[in-house]
Amino acid sequence: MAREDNPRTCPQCGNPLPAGASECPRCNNGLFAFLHSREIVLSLTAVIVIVLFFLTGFVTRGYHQKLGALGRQWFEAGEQQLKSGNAAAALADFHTALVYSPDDTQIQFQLAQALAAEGRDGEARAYLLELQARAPSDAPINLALARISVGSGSEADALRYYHGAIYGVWPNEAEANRLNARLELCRFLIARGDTSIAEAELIALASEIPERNGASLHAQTGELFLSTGNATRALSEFRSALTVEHPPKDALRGAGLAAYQLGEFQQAERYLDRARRLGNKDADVSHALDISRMVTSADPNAPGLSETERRDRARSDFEQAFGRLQFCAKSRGIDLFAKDAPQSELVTLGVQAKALEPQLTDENLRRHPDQIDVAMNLVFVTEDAVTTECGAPQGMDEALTLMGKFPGRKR
Amino acid sequence: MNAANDATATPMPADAPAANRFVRLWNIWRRKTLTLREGQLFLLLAVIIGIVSGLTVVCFRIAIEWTRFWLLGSSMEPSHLRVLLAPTLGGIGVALLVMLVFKRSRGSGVNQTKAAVFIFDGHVPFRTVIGKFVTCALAIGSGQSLGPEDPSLQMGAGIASALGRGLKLSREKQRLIAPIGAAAGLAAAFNAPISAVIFVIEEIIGTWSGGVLGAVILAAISSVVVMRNFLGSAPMFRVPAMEFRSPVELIGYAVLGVVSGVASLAFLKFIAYFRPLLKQLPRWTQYIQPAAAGLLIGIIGIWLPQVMGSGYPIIDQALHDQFLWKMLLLLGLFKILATGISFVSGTPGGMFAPTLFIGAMLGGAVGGVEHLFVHHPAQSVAAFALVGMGTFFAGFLRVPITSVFMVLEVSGNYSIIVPAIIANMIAYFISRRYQPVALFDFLARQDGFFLPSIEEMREHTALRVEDAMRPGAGIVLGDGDSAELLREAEASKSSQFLVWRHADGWRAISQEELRQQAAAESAGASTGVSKGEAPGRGPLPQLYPDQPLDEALRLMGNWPVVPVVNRANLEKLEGILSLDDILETYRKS
Repeated sequence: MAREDNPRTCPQCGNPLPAGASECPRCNNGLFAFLHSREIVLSLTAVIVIVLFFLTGFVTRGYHQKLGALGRQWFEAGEQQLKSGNAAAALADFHTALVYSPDDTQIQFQLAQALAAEGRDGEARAYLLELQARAPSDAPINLALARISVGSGSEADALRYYHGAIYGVWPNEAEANRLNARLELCRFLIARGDTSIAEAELIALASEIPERNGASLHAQTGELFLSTGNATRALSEFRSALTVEHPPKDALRGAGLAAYQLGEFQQAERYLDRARRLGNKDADVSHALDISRMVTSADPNAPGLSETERRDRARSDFEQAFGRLQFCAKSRGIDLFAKDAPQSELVTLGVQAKALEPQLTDENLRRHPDQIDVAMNLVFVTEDAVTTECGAPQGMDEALTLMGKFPGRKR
Repeated sequence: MNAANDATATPMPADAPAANRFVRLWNIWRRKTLTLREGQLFLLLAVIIGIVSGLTVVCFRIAIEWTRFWLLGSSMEPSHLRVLLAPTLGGIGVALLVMLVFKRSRGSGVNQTKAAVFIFDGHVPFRTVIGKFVTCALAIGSGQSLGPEDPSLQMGAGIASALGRGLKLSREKQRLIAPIGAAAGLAAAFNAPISAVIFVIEEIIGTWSGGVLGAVILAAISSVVVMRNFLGSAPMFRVPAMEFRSPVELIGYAVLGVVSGVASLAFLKFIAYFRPLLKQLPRWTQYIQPAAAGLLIGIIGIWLPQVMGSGYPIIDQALHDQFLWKMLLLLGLFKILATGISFVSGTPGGMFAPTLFIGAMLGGAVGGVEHLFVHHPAQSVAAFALVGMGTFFAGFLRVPITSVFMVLEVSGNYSIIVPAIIANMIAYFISRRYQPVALFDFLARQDGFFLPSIEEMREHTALRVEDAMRPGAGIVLGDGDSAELLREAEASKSSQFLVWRHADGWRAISQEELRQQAAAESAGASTGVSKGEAPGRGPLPQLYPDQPLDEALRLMGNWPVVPVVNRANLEKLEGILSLDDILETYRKS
């Protein structure tokens, strides 16, 4: 009713004024005015702000903890999926993990790995580049980028990122990871045919391999040296690998093949024989072992041979080469000893061999031991000529060819 | 007038109890030491509003997330049962709260804040703040396709309004304080203080008023500082590095502008058509409309769960090239549908986040197609998504300046400004051409409020002095004594003259006054104006042709005419202006 009688309101509190009153009884009350003074309201606001601050801090802490836990939970689920080979499911999990922990570089890195595993190299690369921009010296990121660059054929980028991985910062096991990264780089270079750069990297790698627990790396390095054609360094690496009590299986094989390539057939025979006895059934090992054995058994210049045995070996080698020459000439329709035979290297060698054959009697060779060298030289030249004319040698002929390739080597 | 001093000056009644002596002493002490002037208090208040709004928005965002974890789970692809049930049941809860407890919590919050500023003297009930907090957290957290920004804006305005009322600010300041809170709330929700300030000025206040700009900026920055303190300073989106390479790319961005313009137009038409249709239905249907909307969104969510909620993580994924263009297009179109359904059902929640989502998806789709045909680098998809956000924002919300600044602020990349401006303007003009009334304006009109259209205000041509002045009119007398001036005046037909004196400026004098002055000077009597003193009345206020006419109206005072002079030469009279001239010009406009 009062409202109807006096429709005026207090300009301060907005409440209707009582009938006939000119002042608001509430606002004119001293205590009310005091409690509603600006200073008190501001002070109360300050107190409320402080309380709100603490309250919000408490709520936020709980929220961040929850987010962190969810991020971890989805990250672990993603890692499990990735390990079990389900990259698509891992991707979804990592994406969810990233929603809760958007700044977690580990999740981003794993997400990029999952993307790469799914073949989505472009997206993986975008993620990794973003990570690399934030941490340019992060070695795992560089390595992942290098692998993607290898896949996409960006060789210059790959080289740059591999070096980033080699010289970058690893979160753990830095030494081993660096060596492995360099090893991977070398494999990439060899596959690409850049053997000279690969060799330089391999030399650097070999110098960094630690003395302890380095056998496997030595063996791998040796293998790569073999691929570049540097058998000397390869043999050295394999020998280093073989110094330990339990050398890597492939070290014997590698050492044998390296020695074989170097023409050190006795050593090769020793290594390869051990490798085969240890269960290596590789065809190249068997072949190299067989050839090495033939070389060591046919070489008239092998150390410790009696004179009789030297002569016998020389004669036998000569007969082998002369027989191959005749067989080759026959297959080409050439009569080596006909008067009207066409001028060719085979014919010339046939004539020389025919002329030398009578001189290779035991008696003559005993009187003229230098004839053994003459005969062996003719054997080597003949094997090479026949190889050119009739194809690669096999068996004893291959052994003789190799013997000719490494004259004066210890066999 | 200092309201604080007014309050303290209130006389105590004669029969006041003795206990009130303390209060009197307190009043004397605080008047001397504590009392702030209104301007200082206003700035202090802006900081406090910023802090409280920032804290509230932090809690609001966390409340949305907790609700989501609780109702939808932490997976980005929740189970079908959850996807169907959460928004439906959430819708029932929201409807009950809005219909029975928080009746003024409907809508996005922007128009309600505008209505508070223009109709209710800046009054936003605190109950609305609580209502907005609870209902929007439930709606957005349960998967309704709405965002938290507009509600944050209204909550900020509500907090500011409550503080203003508590501190008994003057009516004028009460009206100004709501936009300050709005800017604080929006800045904290958006983590973009510049865009928030510009949006409030562009859409709520409508003018760059110097009286409020400082406080708006202060409040926005305070709230963002508080928000970053609790939620981290990371930007809302992790925008990948991008650059604008060649002017040829602008063709693609122009296409994006057209696509966004058409899409925003379709979205506007959808809301303009369905909202009044649903409002006309019987009142009881309002209890089930949000639930029905939730069910429809759930059905969409079974295939496209990305359209549920505010969708920020999905925007982030689009910016990182995670979707093919077909998927982006699908997400953009279905988000329009989902957001339209949510909004027209009366579910409280904002339009900012969905607008950004739709823009990013459509932008990404255009970028994807462009990448397919033109083979620009893949990063261009992210650039298109980013520009698309601003473009759809400009076309749908019709805030072209905010949209450009938003893209810059979110990306921190200035090379994108040219494409952003071009695409935004195209989208804006398409939307403006085919939907003359802007979203917030037609929403207000549908609700029965006739709020000033900021867009129309922006485009309204201000009248200037040159439009009303009479050029060539007004006779200026030369430099001489009264007798010379009288001779000059008598030679003309006019009775009123203007006189320029370097020391005194412009003065007005009539022929009669001149005659009296000349006679008095020749008689040697004192007329109050000795020989050599400036004749007539003055100095007159001087106007310039480019001045706004309303400013001229204020400056005119009681003078019958005032001179309009050249800014480079104050002696040069361009014309004269009278009150009648001004009124006539306003009448004609």
